[in-house]
This record gives sequence, C-alpha cells and structure tokens, in this order.
Amino acid sequence: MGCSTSKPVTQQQQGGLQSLGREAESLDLKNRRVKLVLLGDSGVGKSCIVLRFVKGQFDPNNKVTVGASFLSQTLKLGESTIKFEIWDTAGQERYASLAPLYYRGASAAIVAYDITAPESFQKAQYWVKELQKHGSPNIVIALVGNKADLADKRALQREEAETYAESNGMFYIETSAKTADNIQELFQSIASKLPGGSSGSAGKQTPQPR
Amino acid sequence: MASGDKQDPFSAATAQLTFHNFLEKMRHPSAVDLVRAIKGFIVSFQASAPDPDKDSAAVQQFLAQTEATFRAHPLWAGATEEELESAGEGLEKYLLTKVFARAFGPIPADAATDRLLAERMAALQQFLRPEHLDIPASFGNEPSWLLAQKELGKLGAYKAPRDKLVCILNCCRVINNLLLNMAMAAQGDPPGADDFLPVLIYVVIKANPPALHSNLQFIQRYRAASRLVAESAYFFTNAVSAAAFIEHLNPSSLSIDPAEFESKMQQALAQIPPNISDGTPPQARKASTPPGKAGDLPPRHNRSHSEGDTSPRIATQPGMSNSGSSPMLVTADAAAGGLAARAPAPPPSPGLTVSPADSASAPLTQPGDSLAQLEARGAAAVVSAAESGQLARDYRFLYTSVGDLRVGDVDALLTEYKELVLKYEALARGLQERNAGLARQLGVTAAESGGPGQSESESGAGKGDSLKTAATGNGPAGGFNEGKALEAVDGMPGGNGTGADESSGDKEATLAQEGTGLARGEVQGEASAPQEAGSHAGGAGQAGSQPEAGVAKSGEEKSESETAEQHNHRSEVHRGQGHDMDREEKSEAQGSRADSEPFAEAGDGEASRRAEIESDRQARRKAEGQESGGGQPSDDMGEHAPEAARSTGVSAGLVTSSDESLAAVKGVDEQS
Repeated sequence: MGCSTSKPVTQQQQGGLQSLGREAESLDLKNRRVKLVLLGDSGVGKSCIVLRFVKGQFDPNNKVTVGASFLSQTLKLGESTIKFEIWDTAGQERYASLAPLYYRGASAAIVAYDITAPESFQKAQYWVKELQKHGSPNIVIALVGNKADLADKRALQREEAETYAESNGMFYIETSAKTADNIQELFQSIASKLPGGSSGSAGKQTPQPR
Repeated sequence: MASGDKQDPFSAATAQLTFHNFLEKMRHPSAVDLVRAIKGFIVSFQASAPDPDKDSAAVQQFLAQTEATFRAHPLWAGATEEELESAGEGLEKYLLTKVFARAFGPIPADAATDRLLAERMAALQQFLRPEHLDIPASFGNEPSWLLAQKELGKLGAYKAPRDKLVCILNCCRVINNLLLNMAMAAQGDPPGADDFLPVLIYVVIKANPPALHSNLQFIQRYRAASRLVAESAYFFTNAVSAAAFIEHLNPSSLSIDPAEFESKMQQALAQIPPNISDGTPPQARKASTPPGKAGDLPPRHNRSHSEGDTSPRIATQPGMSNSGSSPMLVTADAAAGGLAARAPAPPPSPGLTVSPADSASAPLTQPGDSLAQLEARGAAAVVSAAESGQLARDYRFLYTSVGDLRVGDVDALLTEYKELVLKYEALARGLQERNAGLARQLGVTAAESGGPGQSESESGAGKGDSLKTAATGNGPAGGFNEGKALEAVDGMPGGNGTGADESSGDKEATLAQEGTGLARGEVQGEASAPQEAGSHAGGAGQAGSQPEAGVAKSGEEKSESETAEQHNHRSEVHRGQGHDMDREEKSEAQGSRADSEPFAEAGDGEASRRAEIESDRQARRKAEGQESGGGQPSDDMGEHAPEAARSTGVSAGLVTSSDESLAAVKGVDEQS
C-alpha cells in the first residue's frame, strides 16, 4: 500500500542488470550472492521498498521471474558486486510462525515498519527479537521506517527508532518507497555491513553514496 | 515467451533434448568410468537401508562430486558453463529417477504427515473460501486458480526432483501472473508476499496434491543443493510453508468464527469417506500412495529379470506398445497409465465368480446406446475429476506405472480390482436391467433419468474413462497453459508426464548398449523406464516427441544385440506356460543371477511369487478359454508373448471397455 507511484515502468536497466546477475552466479568473494529477507507487518510497504530498489528489473511484461515476491538485484560495491536475493514474507499475523522458513540462512534482513502506524513498530520489534534468537548469527539487520514522505502523519519519532536500533546492534534508516528516498542508501548500507562485504569502507551510520 | 532466458528458473537446462545430450555423452566410450561410478552409486544406494538424512547427504555429495568430475573430464573439455550445468541436471534426473522408489517417502513419519495433510485439505476444500484467508475480493477469481491447482496436481507425476520442483514453480507462476494482472487491472500495487502466500495456500488446499509432504521432502533432500537456490528456493519455501500452515492450521489461522470452523470441519470430515475412500479408508489409501508410487526397487528388478529385455523393446515400438505386449504387471495399457493398468494388473482370483473379461465386456457390448451415453456424460465429470486431481487421490494406482508397483502392492491392487469389478458389474447389470425395463415402457430415454443407479454407474464408467484422462491428464494442462504460464517450460515436465521417465528409459538402453559391466543388469532392473516410454507412446500419443524415437532406436539395437539368450529363456517360459512353475521360477531365477548380482537375492523369492501369480493367471485363462491376442509364437517380439497373453487375456474385457471409454472421453474432449 502506498507505493503505487513506485510501480516500476522502466525497462532500461534490465539488460545490464541481468547480465550482471548472471556473472554473479559464480560464487566468489567479489561476486557474492546474499540472501536478504524482508519482514514487517502487512501494509508497511515491504515489497514497495524492494520494487523501488529493483525498479527496472521488475517489469510486468517480463514474465521471466516467477513473481514479484522474490526479486534480485545486483549492487556494485567498489570492485565487487553483491547480488541481493530478496525474499519477501507475508506480513499477516497468521503467517508469523512461518517466518523462520524464510529467514533461515539469510545473511541480511530488512525489518520494516510504517512511521505512521505505531503497531507496525511493535511488530518490527517482534521480528528483531525473532531474528536475534533464530536468525543466522551474523545477520545484518536494517530497521527501516518507511513512508517517510508522510511526515505530517508521523506517529513515531525518529529518535525512538534510532535508540532502539542502536541498542540492538542494527542500523536505522527512514525511507520512502514512494519518492525513492534512501532506498539505494539502504541497500548500500546493508552491503557494506555484510561480513567481508566492503573493502573496509562504510561507517556504521553512513550510507555509501552511489 | 522467455523460452531461452537463463535467468528463468524454469530454463530448459534439463529439457528433454538437453537430457538426451547428457545421455549421449554417457554413451561415449570415454564415459565408461563415469557410467560405472554412477551405476555403482545406484547399486550401493539401493542396497543401503533407508535413512533420509544419510540418503540425502549421500546423494548430494555424489551429485556434487560427479559434477566436479564432469568439469575435469575430457568429454566436457571446452564445454560452456551451460553445458556443464545441463550435464549436472541430467545426472540428477537420471540418478533420482533410478533410485526414486528407494528414495521417495521411505519413512512412516512422512507418510503420516501426508495423510494428515490430505485429510485436512480434503475437509477444508469443502468449505474454505478466499475470504477466510483474507484474500481480497478482487482476487477471488476462483476459476483461474484451477490452473494453478492443476500444475500442483502434477507433482506426483514426476520422479526427478527438478521436475517436481517445476510443478511447484509453475503453480506459483500462474498465481503470480494472475495476481499481477489483477493488480494492474485495479491499478493497485504489484503483488508481494502478503498477497501471494494466502493465495498459494488456498490453491494448495484446493489442489490437495497427493503425498504433498513426501514430495516436498523429496525435493528438499534430493534436488542438488547448488540448484535449490534463489527464486526456486524461494518459491519452494513458499510451498513448504503453505504445507506447514495447513498442517498446523486451527480456527485462529483463518478469518472465520471458531465455532463455525469446528462445525464445518466436522461436517466436512464426515463427508470425506464417501468421497475419498470409496472402499478403502482414506488412511490406508493415503498411506500406501507414496509407497505405491515409490515401490521398492528390488521387486522391480526381479520382476524385470524375466522381462528385462522386453522393456527396451517396448520402447522401440511406441506405436504398438498398447498392443498388449507390455511387460509384467500389465502395462498393456498401463501404457495409458489408467484403468487398464489398474484393473488387469492383479490376476483375477479363482475365488471370484465373475470372470473379469466377460463381466467387463458384456454390459458394454449389449446395452447399446444408453450405457454409452451415460458413459460419455460421466466422462466429462471424470475429466474434471482427473484435472482436479481427485481421481489420483481416490484411485491410488491410477497414475502408477508398472515400474512403480511393488510386489507388496499386488494384494491391494487385487482387492481393489475385485471391488471394482464387482461394483461395476453390479451397477452395469442393474442399469441394464433397469434400462431394459424402462425401454420397454418408455423407449430410449430411460438412460436419461436420474437416480442413484445412474450416478453410480456413471462413476463406474468413469473409472474406465479415467484411463484416458489419466493418460493425457497432463495434456490439457499443457495446452491450457501454453498461452499463459508455461511458455518457458516447453518440452518440460509441464508438457507431459512421462517425459522424464521415458528419457531415463532411453538411458537404460544407451548404457546397456555401451556394454558396461553393470549396464545390463540395470537395464533389466529398470523395466519401469521403458514401460513408461511405452505408456507415453500408447497412452498420450499426442505427446510423442522426437527424442522418443531416439529412445526407441537405441533400445531396439540393444535388445537385439543382446537377447539371444533371453530369447530362449523367454520362449521356454512361453512354452512352459502356466503349469511348469518350477521351470519358470528357475528360469527367472537364472535370469536374475545372470543378469545382476546385486539383485539376485531378492530375485529368487520374487520370482517364485511371480511364477505363482502367473500360473494362476494362466490357469484361469485356460479355464476361460480367453486366450486372446497374446498367443504369438516366440518370434522376435514373441519374447514377451507370455506377458502379452497374460495381460491381454486377463484384461481383454476391461481393455475393450476402456477403449470404448476412451472413445467416449475423446468425444467429450473434442466437444469441449
């Protein structure tokens, strides 16, 4: 919800991305594949974030992918590339118990909430705990406050989330899938925090400029 | 569309042709070491005690290791990644097709989960509606989900892990495409997992694919780990989680009033028996499904020893394979994969008062139009039942190919067969009498009137019809999908059910031709493959493909070159028909020993049991004077004359009836 404007329409990147993706199939340190799982209440715009990130690759006319709930995108990071394989999860409460099937083996996670919906933040905290308990030991978790464009409806202060993130060893970022704000930065940050991911660059809170 | 895209998880890496390339490679003299290693692994795997974790690890390791060997092997010198990839796929498919019976659902716990799931889904599907899963009204376009269900329903039709996986991916893709179209039409957001998973769960419940849990486990365990990644892994996980959701489902999992849920569930469960069990309790049926499909290889091996050579040969005559010359437990038209396989398979027991041949043909030949009309009408229902997978659930042997049968299944088959015959007979005769009576009063319209008799006999006829549906069950789906979801899967499992097995049949033949040490025993052991090829050709003629011809050829060469000895052996069996049990047993046993050490042991007991069955059959046939069709001399084809005689003789009536049913269904097909 709320990402209709980010509905992908462009195709231009496609070729390049796909060929990149193909190269990344060979597993080496320079071209890694990273499983990233997407958690968060339904309606916080999880899939919109990803679609924004993957943009051109997801083209409704391109039936190659099985569906939009799995997307992959390759990111260049210095000399190496990282191919994110992004696993979307169903956010409805009744599927919560299935999540471990999805985040098993994930080396990164985006836990998203809606800054206008406090209960979605509660849910986000639940996911964080889950991941800490059952996720991969070194999993990189990004706490994402989405819908930053709806500032006037904001119900959760930035500081609150930042404090929470910090105390849980995550990084926090506010995004707008609608305006594409901070979307690239989000993924760049994740990439840089992955073990052995970046060649030394990237501080904790500083998103890599493109 | 997207046919050759390598990004595509469905991409044609193991498409028929590619698989054949792999087999080609294996025929090359320099592949002898590889072939030996593969055969060796298969033999030792078959011989080991089932242990899912160990089995999985062993197979995974062997696959990885052998693929590494491919890389360094001169045969693949200068090969592209893609070629290596398809070799790996080929290997996986070959290996798992071979050891399928041993690897699929070997643990009782899996079967128990299968049962639980099947029962739940059977109950849920009676009252579950999209809104119970909060699937938005705009997504409630239920008829479209049928397509997805159908894809899922094919899960049991394949042996190779990848082929099974493709069924799941196809299902997911159909769902996604529909969601996408709806979202676009509604100018809504592109569908994410929030939308997708509920629909998948709904579809899974509606499809109620056989042995769901075992199938998922099988993929998990035996799909090469290096290939169960990315998108495939994601959608596979979705299927696993759908199954988990169903398994642990309770009223609070659904948007439904708990009390309402309970009462509906009770009600639904109460209704299952008539639908699902129809004679056999659902548990029994479900329980035996996986094993039925899986069957142990050893029996298969023995069984094949005597017929070993017929198998490749059958593959050689796709056109005539339904002439009744199929091996063993009847594939005459098991070929068709349907009733023929099911019905004639078990030898009629002397205890039965109704001769199956008589019984089956009589009502059909005499009553004239009314029955035929009924049958045609029932056929339509059968077609849809087949499509929804219901037939596969209700008749567990319906889609079973000969190779998948175990000796242990004979009992169950026989029981089911008797039930079927008696029920059919009763219904057909009852109907006939009623028709006669009515006709006297009213004329032909008698058959049109309703009543339990009619509907019952519809289902009776339906069983025959399902032969056709069974055989072509995949056909319609393929066609259906052409414009939709399956474009990328051309020639792949989506297309036809027997492709995979058939190809492995080819492999048998080819390897055998190489004359590799183990090859021969193997070929004979794997009667299944060629049978399936036969069935493919016979049953689903429309699916016939070039590769098949290739198969046929190599099979033929092989059989001719190497069967002189069997030939004799065969004729001997033929001559000794029916009475010389010792002799038959002996020759069979000889066959086993000579052919393949590893299976010899199991072979003997097996052989004698078979011999018993055979002589029993033959005695019966004699008594009935029903020696139809099969009395060929021991000419080249005559090798399997005994088999032919056996199956045709016993099944003559039923086969005919099914032929008629076939025609009926065909008509229906064409009309629709």
